[in-house]
Amino acid sequence: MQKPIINVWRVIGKACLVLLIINFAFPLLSFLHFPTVSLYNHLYPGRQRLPFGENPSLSYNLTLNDIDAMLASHVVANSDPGAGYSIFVIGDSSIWGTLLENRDTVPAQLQNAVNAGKQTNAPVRVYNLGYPTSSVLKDLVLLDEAMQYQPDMVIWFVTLNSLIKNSYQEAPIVLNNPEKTNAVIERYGLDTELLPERTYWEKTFLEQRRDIYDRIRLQILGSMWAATGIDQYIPEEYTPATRDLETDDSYQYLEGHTLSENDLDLSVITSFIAQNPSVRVIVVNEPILISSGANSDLRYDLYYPRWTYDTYRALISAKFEEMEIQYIDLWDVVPETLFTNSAIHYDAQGVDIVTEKLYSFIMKDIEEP
Amino acid sequence: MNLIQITSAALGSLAFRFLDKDRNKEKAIFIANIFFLFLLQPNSSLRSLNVLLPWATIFLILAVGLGVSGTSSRQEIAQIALFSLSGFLPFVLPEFFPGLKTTVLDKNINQTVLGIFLLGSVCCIAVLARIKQKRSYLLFFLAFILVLFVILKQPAISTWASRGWRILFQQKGELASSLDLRWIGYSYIAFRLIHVIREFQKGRFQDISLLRYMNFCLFFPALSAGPIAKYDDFSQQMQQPVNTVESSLPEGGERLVIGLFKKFVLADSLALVALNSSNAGQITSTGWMWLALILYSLQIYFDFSGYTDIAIGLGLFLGIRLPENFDHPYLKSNLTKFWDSWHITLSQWIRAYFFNPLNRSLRKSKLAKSPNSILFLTQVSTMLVIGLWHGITWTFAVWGLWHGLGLFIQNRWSTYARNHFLKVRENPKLEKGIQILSTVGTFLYVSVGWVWFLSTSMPQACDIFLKLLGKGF
Repeated sequence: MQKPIINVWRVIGKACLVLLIINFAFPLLSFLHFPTVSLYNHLYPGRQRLPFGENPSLSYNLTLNDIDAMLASHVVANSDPGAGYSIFVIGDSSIWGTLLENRDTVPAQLQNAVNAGKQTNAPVRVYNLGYPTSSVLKDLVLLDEAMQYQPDMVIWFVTLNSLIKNSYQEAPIVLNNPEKTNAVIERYGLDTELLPERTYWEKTFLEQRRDIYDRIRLQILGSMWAATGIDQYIPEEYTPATRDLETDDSYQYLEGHTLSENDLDLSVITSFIAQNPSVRVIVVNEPILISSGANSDLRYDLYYPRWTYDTYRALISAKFEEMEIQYIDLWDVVPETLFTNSAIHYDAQGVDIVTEKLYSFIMKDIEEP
Repeated sequence: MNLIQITSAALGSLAFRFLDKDRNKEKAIFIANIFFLFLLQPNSSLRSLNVLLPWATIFLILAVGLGVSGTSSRQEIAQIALFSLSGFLPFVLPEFFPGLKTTVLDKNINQTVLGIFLLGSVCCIAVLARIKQKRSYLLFFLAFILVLFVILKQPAISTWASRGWRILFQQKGELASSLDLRWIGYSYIAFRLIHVIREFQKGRFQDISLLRYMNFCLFFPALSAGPIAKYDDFSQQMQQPVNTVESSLPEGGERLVIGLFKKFVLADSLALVALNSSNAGQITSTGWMWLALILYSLQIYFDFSGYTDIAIGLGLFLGIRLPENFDHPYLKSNLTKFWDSWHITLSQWIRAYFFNPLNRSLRKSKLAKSPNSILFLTQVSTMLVIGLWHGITWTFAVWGLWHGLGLFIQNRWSTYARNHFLKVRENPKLEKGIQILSTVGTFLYVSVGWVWFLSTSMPQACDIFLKLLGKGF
């Protein structure tokens, strides 16, 4: 039998047409909620912390923009709202657990402390919803999505870098999710400019190809997460946090030695509390490295000049007291030697100290939910 | 080759096909071959090596070519020298097309060394061109190719060579590694050179075109991962006009797309979760260990066969049909059929230049008399050679022995079963069932063999085997 003659140009033309149709129809298919379809919590166990990682082949984890897919891969998506008492711990990379194994993070140690110390039979589950980069708006965008799992308590770790105005501009997860972020800004009436929303073209298949690829990779990497329990590459050696500091005592955009309430995004926290009265919220000022190296009389560490940080602590302490928000200041509880590669990252021993302080503070709530 | 390089190669090949109209086919392909030879050469921490190795490839091929080509004219050699200058293009083009070269080009080339090397090589070629004793000349190069092969494939020797190079060029000797000596396409080029030398020695080549022979050795679609073509087939196609290759363009496009999908979608995704020497120690359960091993089997197949599809697709664009290298190997019902469909051109090469000569000599010798012992020796030693071709290490050697023993046992069993289980053939359902079981069994045998292949050391391979048996966690 003779082979049919193929018209190459016709094949290429048809392929281009199909690609164009798929490309431009893709944004219209968003109602199908592809990202919430996940193998995690079904075929694989849910992740203990949100997906984040720069080296997937070593960490079996990756950084992606899709918040729905991130939450669907988390163990919290398997929780049963109403069954027992659930605690969400949110914050930056110190809560997510940079350079810490899953079992050593603050939420994991808090879970251990709760399991060991609680007197009631009701199950208490502590979920790690921390995510790298310091920004309370980033925390709220993630928390707002996670509210569908109905937490009883939120422990919100903050620091000056996360509360300073416009800190969200350093958070890719916020900038890459303008629709979700703007919805949060509007719903909570925040004093933050709305982000420019994506155009139709930016939502097309070709423009979204990287996000689609990342979602697929997240599912594929689930098998290695299940097989190894590893979700972070922890190198044996790393560059330690800077101890010898510059003489410069300026902080970000602030001029003169002044820091006022207007420079802080406190409304992000207060609005959340106001709109979710049934959720118990505890705000924690997270531990920072207090350096004893050169110029430590001017600065606490690489991030914070002493004057700025002292002013910040006084401001938020007064504000939360005034608003009757539960607040615990753990800024200096972790000794300098226990910090690892950054002024906010501490090792497992540091986590033990933080957990102990935190547990004694929240124990009453857990015992009498 | 990365995606940008493959796309560039495909577009370049299509442009050649539409624009050239066969006038300068061989010259154009030669320039492209030289360009990709330099482009694909990985950067090395050894100074100047990323330029010297491609030049060394050209001179080695040319030197062997002078021994087999018979009457190559000065004009042909001058043309080759002139076109070889396209090797400098990869140092210029990425400035305009970032991404063409994946690694940052080492431009810190010692010009004196390069000059001495080029001048010395040209003098050598001039001297070699005058040698009339072709037999000893070719024997020397046969030995030289094998020595180079051992240096590159034996980690301790290549580390030692790297250290020597470092000391010579005032680099830190203690940083020497076997990975420093990565020579693009050498394994395949060595096979092609040995093929040409042996066929010449057998008197099958009377007078071959030097340019065509160099194109055969350096054909860029098959440079880094084969397949290993035969010179006769290649030469015959090279002489035909491009457009006479029946329906090659749509077929080439189809093979290219299939290859890209296999390599960059399937294999690269599987690589994230397949068993490897890094994650082998991290996996915490037997079930996941088996799954990761099966995924590795699939990854290595899609990776390798994907590259072959890409090579065949690009070849078809240029009017050259390269031989097939894979034919659904994991769907074969025994190990012999598996090796007839896995890396087919390597199996054929080894059969032609190792298995058959060894078999013949053993039959003639007084050492091995029984057919079984001859079969055992030839199969095991052939597979051992295939194993060592991947690297001269214990793990590759054991991988080769694993398959050699497997082939021998399967061969004996097949003969026995053929004579004793005649009734099975009379029951189609039973035969089908046995066929399926044999296919699964063959796949599992091959997969377990990959443990030796992926392990970096014997203790690591043993650890993996223990974990596959549910121990050692």
